[in-house]
Amino acid sequence: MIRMEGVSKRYGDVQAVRDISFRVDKGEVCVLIGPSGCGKSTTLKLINRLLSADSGEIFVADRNIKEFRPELLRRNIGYVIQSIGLFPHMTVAENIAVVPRLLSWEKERITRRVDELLELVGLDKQQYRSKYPAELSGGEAQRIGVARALAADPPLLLMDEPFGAVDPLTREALQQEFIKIQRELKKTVVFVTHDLDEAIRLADRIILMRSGEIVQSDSPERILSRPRNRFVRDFVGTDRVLKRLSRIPVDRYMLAARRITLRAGGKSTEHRPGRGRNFFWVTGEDGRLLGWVDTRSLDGRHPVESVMTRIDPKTDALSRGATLREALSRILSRNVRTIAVVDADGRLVGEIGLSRIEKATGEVK
Amino acid sequence: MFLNRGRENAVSAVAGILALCSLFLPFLLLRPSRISSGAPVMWWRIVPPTVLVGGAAVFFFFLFLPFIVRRGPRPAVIQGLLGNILGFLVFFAGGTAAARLAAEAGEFARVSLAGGSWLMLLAAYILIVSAIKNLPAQKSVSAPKHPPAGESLPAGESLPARESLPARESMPARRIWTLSFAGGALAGITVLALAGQLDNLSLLREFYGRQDRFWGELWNHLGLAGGAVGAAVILGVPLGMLAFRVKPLRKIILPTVNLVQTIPSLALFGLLIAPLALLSREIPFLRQLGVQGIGWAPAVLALTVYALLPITRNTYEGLGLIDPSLREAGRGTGFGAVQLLIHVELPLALPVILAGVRISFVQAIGNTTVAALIGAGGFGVFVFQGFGQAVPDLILLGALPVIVLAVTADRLLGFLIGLIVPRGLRLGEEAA
Repeated sequence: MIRMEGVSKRYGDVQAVRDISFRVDKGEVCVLIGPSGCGKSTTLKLINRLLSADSGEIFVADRNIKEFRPELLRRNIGYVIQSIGLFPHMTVAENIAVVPRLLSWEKERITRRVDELLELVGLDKQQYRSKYPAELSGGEAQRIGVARALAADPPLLLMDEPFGAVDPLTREALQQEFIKIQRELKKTVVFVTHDLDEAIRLADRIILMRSGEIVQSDSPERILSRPRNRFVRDFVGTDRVLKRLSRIPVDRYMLAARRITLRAGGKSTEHRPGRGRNFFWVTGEDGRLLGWVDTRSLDGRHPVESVMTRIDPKTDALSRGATLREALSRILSRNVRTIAVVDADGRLVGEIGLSRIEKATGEVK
Repeated sequence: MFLNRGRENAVSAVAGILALCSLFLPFLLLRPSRISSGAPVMWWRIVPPTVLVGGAAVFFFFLFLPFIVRRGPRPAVIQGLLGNILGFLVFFAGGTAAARLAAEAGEFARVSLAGGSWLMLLAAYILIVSAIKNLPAQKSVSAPKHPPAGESLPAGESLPARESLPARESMPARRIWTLSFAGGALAGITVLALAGQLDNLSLLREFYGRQDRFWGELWNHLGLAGGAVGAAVILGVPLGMLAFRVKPLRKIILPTVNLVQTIPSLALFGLLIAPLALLSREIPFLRQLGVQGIGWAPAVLALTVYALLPITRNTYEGLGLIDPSLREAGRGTGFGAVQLLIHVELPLALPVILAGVRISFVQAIGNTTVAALIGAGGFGVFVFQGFGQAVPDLILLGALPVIVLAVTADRLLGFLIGLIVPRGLRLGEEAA
């Protein structure tokens, strides 16, 4: 989808990008990362011609970008920046509609598209359409920024530290949202960040840069397990194992959960206590996680409700989309050995314990 | 209890002293004819001394009521009411007295307001301005909530906090007070004038003598100022954009418009006479348009040049204030240079540009007065005629409308700008 061949760019005396070549395949998320001043943002801006290269060639969809008028090229490439850049004098709907309007779409088509996109980024269309950027939170504004970039359904998306300006919690939510959207849309994405965790989480491929040159270009797994040189090793840091865990979704290693289902009327347990098993998860008839119960309390005389420990699935269980790294941190912080995994509606889908995480770290080495 | 009472009391004291002093200055000036020198008329010749002393006593009683009792009506309200009554009374008494004096002194006699009246009006003005300014701080005092009896909070600790609470429910009430304070005396005086009560004051005699001319010069004045500002917008906004966009030009444009401002307007009018006269002689088309060395052409030209600075500078500054990331976002999403300007840059700079237009227009209304010297018309005509004939009231007939026009234009444009500025930007300002 994108091909860079021997591209260089300098600002005055500073060589920002030095003879770099790489390609990004269709549908791939390619993350450019490196210390500040390494040329990652410059590289990104060369692709949509916000900057022009001093030498070398850049191809998008096999056509040299010099063949396009810059504005026309940019209308076909979604662009998201850190400071979001929503136009304060336009409503949310008008902001999203910027590119479709430049492409002179019909009015109804634009309205439909705006609604579609608001839904896609998880914002209520009735509520947000006519709001102004000043009325949005950082996370909401960033979602609108992404929606704007996707408006004309460009095959290629450039994102320049898009989640850099929001708090860590919001950032995590936005990253999950991004993964979900990307799974659905399969865009080709070039993503600039300085946050390694973010890169490892989102990337199909990471391009690590230093002083305008590419140091290593590999899958996140390989960057973590086979750093090419000392710089990469230092950049990746000492917690490589932990970082690798954040690439692994929890549902790949979780086990089936043993459970007791509470039936209406308050009785009825389905599972007999098994060997080596000292507790059961308790769910409602609809499968929603309610709590857990110690096998020793199940003497058949007391109803399960009276002896179980209630828990809140929102805080005491993991969501299905979580990573092993989150599982580990949750287990350690709650001081338990096993933690339940629930789906979006709070239904119990499995469980994961420390031993499974250990097994996973052994396998990925 | 009243945080602002100290300041308001000081204002009351100043206004009171001014009002008191004014009583010892002549109230009116009586001249046997329009151009002869006049004889002062003291207050007590017009108003019976008992009424004067009684009125003053009532006035000072209410003025210093907040000094005496710590509670009671809000000082701002008292000030507003007193200021309005005072202003109204000066004109009412002046008009009535003028009628009587004119009848006594004959057909050609002229009566005009003298130093005492003006000083009294100044006192009234100070009271009204102070009232309008201090009303907001008094909002929450109108609905004090006392702590429950059981709690014994030290007053000094609890009350200031309560005073800073926003009291939204009293906002409409505040508007009404402000409007009635600002407009009350004006409305009263207008009613007096329309009823013919002021007809014998010299200022109005001058007005009735040249009523048609007055309205004609009003349109002249507005036309000159408006035309100049219109031309300055058409020229100045692109100049500001050019200065912003092209660095080498910036160093020429901004100092030039700055420099022009420093030329005295009279000199600029004079400088334009020769070249325009030449143009008019050489190019028949321009001559047919009415372009001459004197008249409207040099006036509009000079006024336009003066009006350029605020507009050009504000356009330049307004564009410079735009967050660079917005420009990058605009370019990155595929706006061309012109589209970016129209859809992003100009709307965002609009509030600042319009503020420049507002300044320009108010300035131009003042500057236009001088244009009368080169035969362009406008209210300056009366001012300079008044100078020439040594008739102060004629000067006032020219000067007062200019002040009224400038203030009205300022308020009106401010209001219009509030309507024009995009809602999203106003929200941003409130958040900031």
